[in-house]
Parts: sequence; C-alpha cells; structure tokens
Amino acid sequence: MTVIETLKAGRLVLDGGFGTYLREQGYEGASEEANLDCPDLVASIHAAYFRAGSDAVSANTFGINPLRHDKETCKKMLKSAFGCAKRVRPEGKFVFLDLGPTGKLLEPYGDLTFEEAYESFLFVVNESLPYAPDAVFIETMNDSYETKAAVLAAKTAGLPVLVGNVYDASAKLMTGADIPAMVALLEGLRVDAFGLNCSLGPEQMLDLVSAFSEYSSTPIIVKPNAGLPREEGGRAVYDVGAKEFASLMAEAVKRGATVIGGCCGTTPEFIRAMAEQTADLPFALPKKKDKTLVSSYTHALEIGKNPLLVGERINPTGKKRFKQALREKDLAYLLNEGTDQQDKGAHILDVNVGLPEIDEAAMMERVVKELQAVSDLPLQIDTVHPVAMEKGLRYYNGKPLVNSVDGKQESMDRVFPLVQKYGGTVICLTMDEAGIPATAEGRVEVAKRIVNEAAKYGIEPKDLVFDPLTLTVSSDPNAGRVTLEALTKIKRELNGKTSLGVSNISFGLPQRELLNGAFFLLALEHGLDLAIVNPFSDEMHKAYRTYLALTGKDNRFEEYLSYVERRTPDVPQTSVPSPSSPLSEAGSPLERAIVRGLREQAREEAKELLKAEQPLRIIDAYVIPALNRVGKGFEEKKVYLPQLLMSADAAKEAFAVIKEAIPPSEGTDKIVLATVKGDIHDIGKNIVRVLLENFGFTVIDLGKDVSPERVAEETVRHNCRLVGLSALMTTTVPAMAETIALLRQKAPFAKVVVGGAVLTQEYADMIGADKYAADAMETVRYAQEVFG
Amino acid sequence: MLARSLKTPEIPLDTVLYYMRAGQDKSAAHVAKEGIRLVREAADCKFVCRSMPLALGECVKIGDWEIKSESLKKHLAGCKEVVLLGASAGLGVDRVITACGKKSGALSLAADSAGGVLVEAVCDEAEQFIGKAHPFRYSPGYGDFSIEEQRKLCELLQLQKTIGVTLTDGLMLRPTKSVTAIIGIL
Repeated sequence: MTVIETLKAGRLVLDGGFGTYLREQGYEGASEEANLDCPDLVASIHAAYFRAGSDAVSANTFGINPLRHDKETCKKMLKSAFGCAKRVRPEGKFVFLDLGPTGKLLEPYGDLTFEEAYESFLFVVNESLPYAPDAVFIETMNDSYETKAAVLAAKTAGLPVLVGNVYDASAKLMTGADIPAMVALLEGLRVDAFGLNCSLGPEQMLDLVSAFSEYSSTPIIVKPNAGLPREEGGRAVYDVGAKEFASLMAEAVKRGATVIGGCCGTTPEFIRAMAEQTADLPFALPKKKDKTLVSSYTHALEIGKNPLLVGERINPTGKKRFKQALREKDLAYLLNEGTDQQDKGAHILDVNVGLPEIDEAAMMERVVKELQAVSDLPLQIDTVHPVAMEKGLRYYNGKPLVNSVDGKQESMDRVFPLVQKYGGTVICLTMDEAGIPATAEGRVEVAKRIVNEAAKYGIEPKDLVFDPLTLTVSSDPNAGRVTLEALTKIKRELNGKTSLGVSNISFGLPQRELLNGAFFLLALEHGLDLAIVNPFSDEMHKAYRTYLALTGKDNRFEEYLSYVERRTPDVPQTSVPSPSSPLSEAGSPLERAIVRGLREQAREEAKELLKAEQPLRIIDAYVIPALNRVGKGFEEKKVYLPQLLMSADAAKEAFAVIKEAIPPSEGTDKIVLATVKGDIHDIGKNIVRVLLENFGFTVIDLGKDVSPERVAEETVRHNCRLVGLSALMTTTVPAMAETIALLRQKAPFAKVVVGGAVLTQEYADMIGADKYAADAMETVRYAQEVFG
Repeated sequence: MLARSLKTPEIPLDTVLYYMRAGQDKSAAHVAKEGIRLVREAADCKFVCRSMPLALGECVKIGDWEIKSESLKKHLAGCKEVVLLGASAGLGVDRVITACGKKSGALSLAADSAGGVLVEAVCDEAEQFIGKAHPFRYSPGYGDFSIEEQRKLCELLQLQKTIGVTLTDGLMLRPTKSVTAIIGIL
C-alpha cells in the first residue's frame, strides 16, 4: 500500500522523538550531524521505532537545510540519513523526508524572502529524490508563510505531503494563525494530512484536536511532546510517562486523530504503548465539511454564514488619484486605502492593481506582500492577468478569494490550474462565450457548467462562489429582478454561495446611493453571501447593519449598536494643545491647524482654501511657513518630537488634498532615503521622509536594511542629487561607509546626508558624508540648500 | 529551560512619553495612549530562561560557551551562576508599528515606544520570576560583549521554538521588540 492508501484505510503510526532520544543515547552534537558522525546509532533509533510499531519513520533530515549548512554537507547528510533509515526499514513500512523550519523569519518582518525559503526547501527535496522517500513530512513549523513555502517545494516532487504545525496554548501559531486559518490554507494547498506537533503535551493538545475535527476534512496528525518540559540538572525532563501518554493519545484518536506519533521526550517505549492502546479503537476519517473558507495569516472567514463585505476601493477603475499612485508606485496610498476600509468594517479586501502602462504582475506581488504586513483581513486577488494572478496567489499568506473565473473555456483553463496549485475560493461569474444570459435559468446553467469543469481539477463546489452579475436597471428595467431570482435559484438548486458587485445596478441614474442601498437590502434577503461594496458608503452600511439586526443575525445587536455609535458625527481630532504652547496662536486657520497637529481640521481648511487660491500658493504661503515654525520651535527645543510629528501628519493631510488639485509632475527635486544594510530601525528615517515630503520634495524611500548596490542603483536611475542614509546601530556604520564609497563611484553627482542615533559629526567625517544632520529639520534645511 | 506566556503587563504612559522624547509636552499623551492601546491589543508576551553554570577565568565560561569579554567578566564578578533570558512582545507589535507608520509618524513613534517599554516590562517580570538576580541585565552588544554571540545565545535558548524569536543575517532579533540577556545570579 502507498502512504495515501494507508492514510485512507486506517491509522498511521509515526515515530517518536528523535533529537531528544539521540541525546539520551549520549550524542551531544546537532541531530543532523549524527548522520555523518554515528550512522549506526541513527539507524538503531529508526530500527527501535519500527520494532515499537511505527508504520513510518522520518529520516534524520529535520535540520538539513542550505541555510544552516553548506550544500555539499547537506547532500552528504541526506545520503547518509536515508541510508540509515532504509537499511533498517521492514517490508511494507515507510521512510519520510523530514523538513524542519529554516530557523529564520520570513518577510515582511524577517529578512528571508518567500522565494529564498522556497528555494532552500526545494534544494533538500530535489537532493532527496534519488533516495525515494515515501512522503514529505513538514514539521515543527510555527509560521504559516514558511509552511506554505515548504509545501509548494514538497509538492513539486509529486510525493504525498504531511504537515505538523506548532501551536501554543492559545491554539495559535507564533506568527498568529489559528486552527481554522491553517485548515483553510493547507486544504487549499491539497496537503494529504496535517495537524499538530511539538511544543505541547498530549493533554494540552486534546482540545486542539477537537478544533481540527470541526473544520478539517483531511486526516489529522497528532504528535505531541511527552508533556511539558522542566529543567533538571541542565537537561530537559518531560512530565508525562509512556502509559499516561498512550491513554491520552487514545483520547486524541477518539477526538479524530488518525495519524499519531510522538515528538520531543517520547521514546520507542511511548510509541509501543500508544500503538497497543489505540490498536483496537475504531477508525474513521474526518467527515467531509461543507464550509466555504477564506483565510489570512491570522484567521479564517466562513462564507455562507452571515453575509460579508468585500471592500472594493483598491482598484484604479475611474479613480484619477489611484491611477497616479499606481504609476508613481506610491504604495502608502494604496495601503491606506486598505486599512481605511478595514476601519470602516470591511471583512475582505479586493486587490486590483491593473493599469495598462504598469507591470501589473510585479505590482500585484508588492501590494499583496505589503498589504499583508499591515492588515490581517483576507484578500481577494482581482485580475485578469494570468501572471499577476499567479503572483498574488503565490505570495498570499493564506487562502484567498480569487476574482474571478467565468463560464468561458479560456477563462476556466486559465484560472482553475492556479487554484488547484495554490488553493483559493473562486468567484464565478455566470456568463460565457455567448455573453450574460438574459434569464435567471440561463445564469444557473452556466454556474452548473462551471461546477463540472472545476471538478476536473479537484476543486469542490464549496470552494466556488457564484456571482449572477448585476446589470443596470436604467438600460433594462427587469435587470434587478433577474439578478435577484438568480440568487435564489443558485441557493436552491446548487446549494451555492453567492456574491455580487452591488453598485452596478444604479449606473446612469441620479442619487445612485439610494438605489444601491435598497438593491443591496433586496439582494441580502434573496440570499447574497458576499457583497463587493464601497465600505465608505453609508447607505451600504445602513442596509447591511439593519438587515443583520432585523433577521436575527446580529447577536445582541452588537454590530448595530457599534454602527450607530460610529455614525454620530465625527468629533474633530484634537491634540489638546498645551496652554503654554508658544506656537499655537498666530497665523491663518490652516497654519494653526498644522501647528497644533489637527489632521481633520488641516484637511478641511485646505479644501476651503482651494476654492479661492492656487494649490502651489497654499503650499508656499501656509503649509511651509507653518512647518517652518514648528521646525524652528523644535530646533529651539520649544517643541518636542511628538508634536513635530503630529504637525507633519496634519500637513500631510492638507497636502493630500492639495496634491489632488495639482497635475502630476515629473522632475521635481528627488531624494533617495534608506536605512543601511543590516539595520532595521526606520522610525527616524520615516520622520525625515514625512518632513521632506511636506516641504515639497519627492522622496524615493527604499526602506530599511538596504544594500549599498540598491542605493547606488536607485540614485542613478532617478538621477537624484541627494541621498539620505540612516543608521541606528554602531554595528551598521561600516555598511554606511560602504554605501557612501559605492555612491562616490557610481553616482558622483549625489550629495550624501547621514543621520541616526549613533552618528556624530566625527563619524560622518570619517565615513566621508557631505553632511551630518542631527535631526529631521536639519535634513530639510540641507535639502533646501542642495536644491537651492 | 522554562518558557512562559504572560498576561500583557501594564505599559505606563509616562515611560512611553519619555521614550517618545515628548519632554514637557503633554499634548502627545493622546497619541501615546492610542499607541499603547494598539500595542496591547496585538501583544503576545513570552519569555524563556535557562540557568547555566558560570566560571570566570581567562574568559567568561557559561556551560561550554566561552566568551571573550572583559566588560561581561567585570559585570558578572561575584556571581555563582547565570540565567540566560529571551523575551519578546510578539510579532503582532511589529505589525502595529508598521501599519501605524503608513498612517501617522506620531502614532508610529508612539507604538514603537510602547513596544519598547513593553518588552522591558516582560524582562522585569521574568527577573521577578528568577529572583535574587544582579540588578542589571547584560546583552550582546553591550561593552565588548560581541553581538556575534547572539547566535549562541539564541541556540542555547532555542529561541525560535520557545518564544518565536529569530535572528537576521545582521544578527538582529525578530520580532524587533525582543530582548536577549545574561543575568548574573548573586
């Protein structure tokens, strides 16, 4: 029998702890080094587990990874590791390739890219293939993103893939994912069995096993430690014995575990006791669940329970400012569109960055990566561009919504293979080569054809969400009725989940919001599960919140009450200026708002001024003088850092309004900013950026931990006459020196200003900077000097 | 080795304002409070500690780990053993700081400061748990205690597995609001 057949036919008994058991035998080095140091000992441990009743052992490959050892050593270790396991393997038993974590944290918060992680796993997988492992067991992973990289690498070999993740007592991974989120991700990636290993003892795992059973349709792995460790004489001692372990594992089996074994602290004795005690228990695979899930790196959402809102605003269609942001790669603007929608109550964010003149695939990759650094909402990857769609799905840390496929063969041929590979819940538009059917029946027929085609790729109906399409009533008065009827039919005939872009309905009519809100309410009542809407529209919220409240879908009216509270008019943000503030009083209302750090007010005042004055004059006559006053106050130590930043925030608000009135211009004064290689402290650099932007400079912010090569490259590319470098740690000053040296060579036209906590005038002179700036304002003054 | 999750400790407003370099300016208080709130919501505080034998000779010897550092040797004079400490406020705090940075410099400063105050508070709780310790923690990068030693410290505490902390190529801790230290036991 193959591993897959065994998983379906009965329980699979894995092995127990390897590293801890190896140490018990007196070996002190890193476990993977034992493959070369003492292969006989390694083989004897595998043999002991087979004798104890393991159906499968993991070869001693957990710590083998090109990020930990050089590639030649990895190859030698792999060869020996498989040699050890295979020579003691009894007929009909399995040997797995074991993949452990890389030991590094992935982007955006670590310095390992997704592709680097993928490549390192792929290397181990490929180098193992000559030894014909029966499956790949990815274990002890505490990051969902790294897990995804490992699964994609393992899948390339066409072998069965099993995954064990490390959960803490709060039932979450270290990087935040809960159990439903991991079930969604791993079932999307078509992993053959998954569950829990390490960190917890069997008792602490029991409730988690029940949670897996509630969500998972896939065989569940439970591989606990021998209880919780305590220290005794410098060694870890675990608090659960073999007998107790076995009876707790029997309970885990009753709760749904079908792949069982032990982790740290367990020995062949534990596995024997466990195998014996569970042998006669009935076997049942997890029941098929019919939940339609999407997930982020923290949580999953179920589509089909309460209706959900998808925020539609990350989309350039018809938005001048958004298009400009895409062309200028102004990611901050896009990201704020995301977080603002989250604040307004969106449950999912649609991501559409398609514009003919930009590289959509590259932009999709960047936006997905950066958006998931600042928002924990599930994303909806919205593109017709196949490469952009693949990038979006690949780099997304979870199971996304995919927007969209339709009944055209070409569309299904393009989208379904990607969903099969990466997982996802797919929005299916009920139209095909012949267009949008005029009747509800016609649209349901298309939906049925999509279901059949998806099945060919192993995509289940629960992972499809049908959009019967909203057409505008102004061109066909019956359009609304047909769409509503189709919603009902999809529910009734296919038991399908539904979605709609609601606002199309009102196109061409005045006061569109009124119609949109009413149509939304009707659609909800006809079975709409997912509404793609503008979360800033109050009419939409009105319809949504009142619907939930009136149909028993709002527990204790919590949603409704919090909505009502938020609906009361905004109190302008006040910074409670200190009465003694030397700067608060003089100047125009806009200047005062900026000086006092009042964001809302600054925005409103700027709008007011735009009615009468030229945008550029507003900047020169009000914004910059206000910033100058605050900046001067800061230099004179009358104003403190937070107030300086609040003023900058307020000026930024004003600036955003003013910018919309100015045609986009090329060739303004550009400045490259970066925190140097090896340094991740960017708050100082960000302050400088904000101030420079406020003073009208265009800043090309390269971020933190930036290599000298990249700084030089971007400086040349943008022909920048000024480069600002920041470092906070003494250890990274040499990287700054290196960057300056390279700049002198490649971009001799650029002046370099340096700053950061550890820098002094002496340091700056030593490393050859043109200017040392003690604070952000000094950088601004220097920039004004450089650009005259 | 002992790893613990903690209830998020208090983050005192005054200390956050001090970290923000707010000086006498109390108008920053509402931003600081918002930063504290967001950080508290996102925090996942953990520490791990491990006691190790100490020998002070030519160099500092902790178990079989030999450290060449005069300043550390001086610091540990009179101590019988050491406790290695790893502490973290969790990855969620990094997410908050980054998200704030996209919106408001002031709020980002506040969140960054609150995160820093928080991880120090986690260390303080850990020290209370350890007891009878030297009043100061000593970390790689202090004096001539090379930052390179961060690797060994991470390995001895199995930081990734125990509290989810990893090292970058540049030997910095991730999540950023994390601390490693050697604590002398008197």
